[in-house]
Amino acid sequence: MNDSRPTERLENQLAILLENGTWLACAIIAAGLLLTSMVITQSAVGTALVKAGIGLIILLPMLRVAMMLGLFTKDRNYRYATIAITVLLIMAGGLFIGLRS
Amino acid sequence: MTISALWLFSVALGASALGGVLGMASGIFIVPILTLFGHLDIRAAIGASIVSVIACSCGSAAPFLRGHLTNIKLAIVLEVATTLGALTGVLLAGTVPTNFLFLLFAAVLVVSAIQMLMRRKGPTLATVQPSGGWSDRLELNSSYFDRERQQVTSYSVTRVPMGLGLMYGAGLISALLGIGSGVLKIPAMDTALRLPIKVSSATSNFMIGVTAAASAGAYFMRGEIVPSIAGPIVLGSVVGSIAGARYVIGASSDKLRVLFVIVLLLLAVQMLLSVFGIHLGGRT
Repeated sequence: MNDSRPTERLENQLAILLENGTWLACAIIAAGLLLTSMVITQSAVGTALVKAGIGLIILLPMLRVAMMLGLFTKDRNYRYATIAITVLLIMAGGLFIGLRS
Repeated sequence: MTISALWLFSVALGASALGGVLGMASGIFIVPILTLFGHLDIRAAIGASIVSVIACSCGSAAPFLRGHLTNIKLAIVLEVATTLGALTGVLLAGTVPTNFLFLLFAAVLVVSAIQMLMRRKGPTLATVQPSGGWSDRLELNSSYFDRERQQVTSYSVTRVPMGLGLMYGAGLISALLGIGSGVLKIPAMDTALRLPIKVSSATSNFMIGVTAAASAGAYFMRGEIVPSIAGPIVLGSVVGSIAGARYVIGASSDKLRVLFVIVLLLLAVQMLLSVFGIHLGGRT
């Protein structure tokens, strides 16, 4: 069985991160779209905001894995910390492939 | 061709809300609608859809986590396979012909229709079975509080290597088509790992954000995600998934289920016809 207390703490922290992160990213995208729809403002600023919001959404799962890594390490669960590092490295590999191609 | 942000927002909202009602991810509807009716390039549609998949996963994860339905240890173990699959998909995406993507999408739509018609019952095992091996070493067996039964239900995780194999395939299809890849996740969760259906839904929803981010990161860096398309799609999907989740239907809504099966099959036929350059929607 899972050791319930560290897991429960981790579940709550992950829930807070994902919930708030999604709302923040959506708010940034919405603000960007509003700006691009206004004729008087420069649409480049709006597009940059939308892009930043999309970037934050893509970053959010990576932050989630990083948070899991931190808490597994803190709980001295090195087996799971290694698994989390592996996932983070694979995700970083995706960014690297994107940069190189 | 310029498509208005409002149109994109509405399409994503509708697809996500309707998909949410039946417990399906919206990506499976968004890509065909954008390509067949919005006449968008399939790669631009996939780029927008994959970001919306992440947003919906992250946005809906909190209640499952707080309800202790998500098996986070199992999720991170399976994510090694799904992200590797996604990375393979990213490498293949540049070389795969567009027609193959339409063909693969048509196949995924047909399998999804069959799965919807058959309904998910989940494994009947409610008690802990001797699992051994990977499950014990990785402490994957767990429990959750079943509100309907008002009791704590323990479960064991079985056939982890088979689950990892199927999850690799799910990650690959997710990256290639910009979808949540329930087609392979459902057999992985139900047949291989034999998870209770509530744990399975929560855990696979939790995982798809990381899986999709592995490929979306590459597409974002390549500049293949168009902000003016992805922005409204993401917003519409998140709002739609919240609305859809409020009206999740029971297994009794057979008429709606059959309607969705017909829609999935029609989209499959049109995606298949697109391979041969035939567009029933009047595309020139």
